[in-house]
Amino acid sequence: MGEKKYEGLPELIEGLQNTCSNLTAGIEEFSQGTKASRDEMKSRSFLMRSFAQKDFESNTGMGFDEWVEFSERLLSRFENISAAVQRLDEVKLDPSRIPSALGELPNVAGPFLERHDLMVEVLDRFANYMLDMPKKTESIPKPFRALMSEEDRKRMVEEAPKVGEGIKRLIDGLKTAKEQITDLYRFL
Amino acid sequence: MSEDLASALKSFLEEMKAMLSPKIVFGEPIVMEDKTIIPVVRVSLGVGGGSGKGEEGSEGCFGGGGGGGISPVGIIVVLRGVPGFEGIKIMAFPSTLGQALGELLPKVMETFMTMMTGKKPLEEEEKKKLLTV
Repeated sequence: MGEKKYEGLPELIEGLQNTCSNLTAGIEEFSQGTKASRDEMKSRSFLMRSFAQKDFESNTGMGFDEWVEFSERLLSRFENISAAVQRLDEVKLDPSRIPSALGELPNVAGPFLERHDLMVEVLDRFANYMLDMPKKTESIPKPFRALMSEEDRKRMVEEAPKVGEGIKRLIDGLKTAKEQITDLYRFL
Repeated sequence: MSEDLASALKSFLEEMKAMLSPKIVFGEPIVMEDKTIIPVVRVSLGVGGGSGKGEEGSEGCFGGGGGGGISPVGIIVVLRGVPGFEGIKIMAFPSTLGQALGELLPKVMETFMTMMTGKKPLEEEEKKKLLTV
């Protein structure tokens, strides 16, 4: 009877474990990239820095420091979710211990589920900002454009879209995680 | 005038004063053929109020007044076709030069960004939600 009640649970746990693993790697990469951009920004001239920081914040919704903080918190959140799923995995064959392990999940996943839509929206702004960078590079007013080095210009045109695609994949991962966690809730 | 009304009026004026504390404001950019000029002014409001009791048997009185002031800080000129730092001139009036330089540039950038993209940062409440995930 217990086995019947938890039919499909092992597969769902395995799927969520894979998603969490991919997500933590993706968020860590995103976090490192944002930190590197923030640190690099500090080496820019005052004028260029002011321009770039304002442009970044207006378009992505938050400043560099806030993005770094957000990504670190999101990473920590998914590490906690992963740990809870791992505990669930360890007891999945013992129906008497499943409810207690399953009961931990809402506590650790709640803040993520509550903010999921806002996160997706703001990450999408970030991704689109990076994807539009080549076009945007051309639209920067000429006096400001002349302050950029050739290396910067090349990076904005060639590298930024790749970062944008990476953020889109991160968004897909977050959506999948939401679906899988919600699906797990039916066993509560 | 009753004490209650005097008190209410005074706190209203205090709130106005807090809302309109001295600050830097940018005027509408003036686009010319070879340059864009952005006027910069400092807006301030002074508010004062007082109340007093009259002789015994007579009503007390309350007096309040407000006065605003706009003082020019300088102008920012973006020269068309002149690259680099040479293309941007911040012309502050001598008495406010140091202060203006510190306060102006981030605001100028914000004005430019809003003009260019029409996008704004998230509201504080939304940021707070994300930073507590």
